[in-house]
Amino acid sequence: MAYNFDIDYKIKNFVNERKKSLSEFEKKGFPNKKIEEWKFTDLNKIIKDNFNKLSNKIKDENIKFTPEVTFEHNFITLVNGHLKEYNFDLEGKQGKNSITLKKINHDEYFKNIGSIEKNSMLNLNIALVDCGFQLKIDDNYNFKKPIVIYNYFTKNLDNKIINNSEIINLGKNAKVKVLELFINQNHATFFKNTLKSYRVSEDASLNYYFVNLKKNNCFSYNYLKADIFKNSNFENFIFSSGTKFLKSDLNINLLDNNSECAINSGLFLNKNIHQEIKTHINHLKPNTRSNQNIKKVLSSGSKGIFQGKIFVDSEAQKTNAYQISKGLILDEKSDFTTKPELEIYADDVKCSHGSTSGNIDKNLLFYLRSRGINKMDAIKIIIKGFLESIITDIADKEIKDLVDRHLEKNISYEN
Amino acid sequence: MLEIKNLKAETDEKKILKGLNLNIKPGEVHAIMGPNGSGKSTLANILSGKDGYQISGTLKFEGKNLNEISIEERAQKGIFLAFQYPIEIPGVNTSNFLRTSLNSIRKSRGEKEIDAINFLKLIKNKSNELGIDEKFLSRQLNVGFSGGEKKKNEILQLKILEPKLAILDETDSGLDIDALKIVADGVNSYKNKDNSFLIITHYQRLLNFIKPDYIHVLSDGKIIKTGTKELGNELEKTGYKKLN
Repeated sequence: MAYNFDIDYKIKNFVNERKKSLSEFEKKGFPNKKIEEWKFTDLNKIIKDNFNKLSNKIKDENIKFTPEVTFEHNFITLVNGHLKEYNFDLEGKQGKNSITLKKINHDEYFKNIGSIEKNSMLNLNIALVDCGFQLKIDDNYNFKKPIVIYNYFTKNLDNKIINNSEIINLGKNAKVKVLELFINQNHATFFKNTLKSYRVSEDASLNYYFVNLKKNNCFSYNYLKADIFKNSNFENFIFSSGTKFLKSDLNINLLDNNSECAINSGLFLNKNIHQEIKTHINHLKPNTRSNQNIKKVLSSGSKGIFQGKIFVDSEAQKTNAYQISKGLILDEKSDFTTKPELEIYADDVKCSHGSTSGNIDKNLLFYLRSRGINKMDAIKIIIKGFLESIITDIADKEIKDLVDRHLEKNISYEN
Repeated sequence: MLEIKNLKAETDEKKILKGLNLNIKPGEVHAIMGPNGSGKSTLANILSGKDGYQISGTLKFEGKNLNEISIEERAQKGIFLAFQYPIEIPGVNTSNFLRTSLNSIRKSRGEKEIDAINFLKLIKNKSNELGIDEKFLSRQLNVGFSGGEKKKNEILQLKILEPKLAILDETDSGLDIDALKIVADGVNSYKNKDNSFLIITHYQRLLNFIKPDYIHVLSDGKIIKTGTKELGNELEKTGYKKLN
């Protein structure tokens, strides 16, 4: 596989850091299964099998779009990772004064990645990052309406790699709900390597929903670092189906009393799709809480992986951490893997994890069919029911309905 | 309506039905009583098409050979089984499920689907008749329902789907006397000259409320005695053992 990665020298700062990072990547290469964190996802092999070349030279593009979401919302539009447009009119004057949205700049980027332990994908991101956004929300600002991020990808991305970064910084007591829609209805085969960094300050709240259900040939790696401060909470919802390859690497630091996070994920995979959710939750102070609910429906040779680590520092007494991973496996060709990991250094904590997997329950199917429902429809009802508990937890009704509708529309199962 | 001749059924482990004969005409109510393990639930399962049995003999519904049609087609043609143990289906809303079910049956008959508003009226109406709290309708199907609630939910489905042949598999078990009356009233109000019932039960109790035209005693895979409602009273006094 030939790759052609060029550092952008037009950007004058951090040149040495970027050069160093690129040579780090070149030394390590794409992660392979010998690395513990990549044990179930041999990215090096996946890249070799799907790309014969890879380049980061992407022509800037503008496209016309019509917003898909019908309820009232603010929006941010990205095309191939580049910030193109945004609108916060619904927030009025006070809102506009409290919200700062900019294209990513290297100063802010390097400020945010300092503490991260870098794998080779992050080395690559550091070397090549050239797009994305940084969103700053001032103290005490509570959004009236959610922000929808329209994440568009164009058809000219064959054999390209996007390296972008998204930084969200919530001030004290600020509150926002974000819905990211991954929109790519063409068949370009490309890689997207994204570094996300969120800061949720004291008493603040960030609910982030990612939805992608349509079939596409994107190969996507997301690394998230989220710092959650005192009395604040972070909800991360990932609902994914059609993306050919996805690895979401979620690293969440619960940094002070009463900080909490919830990770809810529903993956519905078919046709050789490979997706992994990997979490690393750090409970670093007392009275922190985390809750992870991961569900996967797998068919037609797909692979669904969950690696979930809960770390409890010796200081983090009264931690409450829960993790459950469930798989509904529709045929023998598909693969479900779960690897829970608990590392606990405090003695007064509540930590538990569980995992189940199984096929469609025959008794459920018989019951539904005995009510006149065709077998295929009955299977769909069971699948939807299985994923429903993830959706039920979405606090925002409009976002919940949207996810529900998307699922209803896109659920398809062929035996 | 239903014609069963020399029905034999077995699983890999054992022979369950050993030559069962039964005829049910439109408008008739038949009760099948019998001890545990006599094959009562197997008969109910086979009529609704559950797999896992090797079957021989004749099984006809309105002249059509039942062996040749799928579970859902049987339901679409008008066979309904009220389950002994209704299944819990997580994540599936009770009301949505019932509407999907009704519309599947309507569609199979070339009828128009019922819209959400009219369905809501229908289901509210029928739930009230059965004393079912409307809150149940928005809950997940049978999840966390008490035994009595599950059974009432089965009867609600029966009243909405309006089958020609309703099979009640031990619908009375686990019901207190008030719930039993409600269930029986539900069945009685649905009974008419065109539809038939096959009531499977251990006890005479239910038959005090739903009057059968015939009572059959099933023992060791065969009907060993058929009579009218007096037979039920007799069985209540003497038990099944005397009949063997």
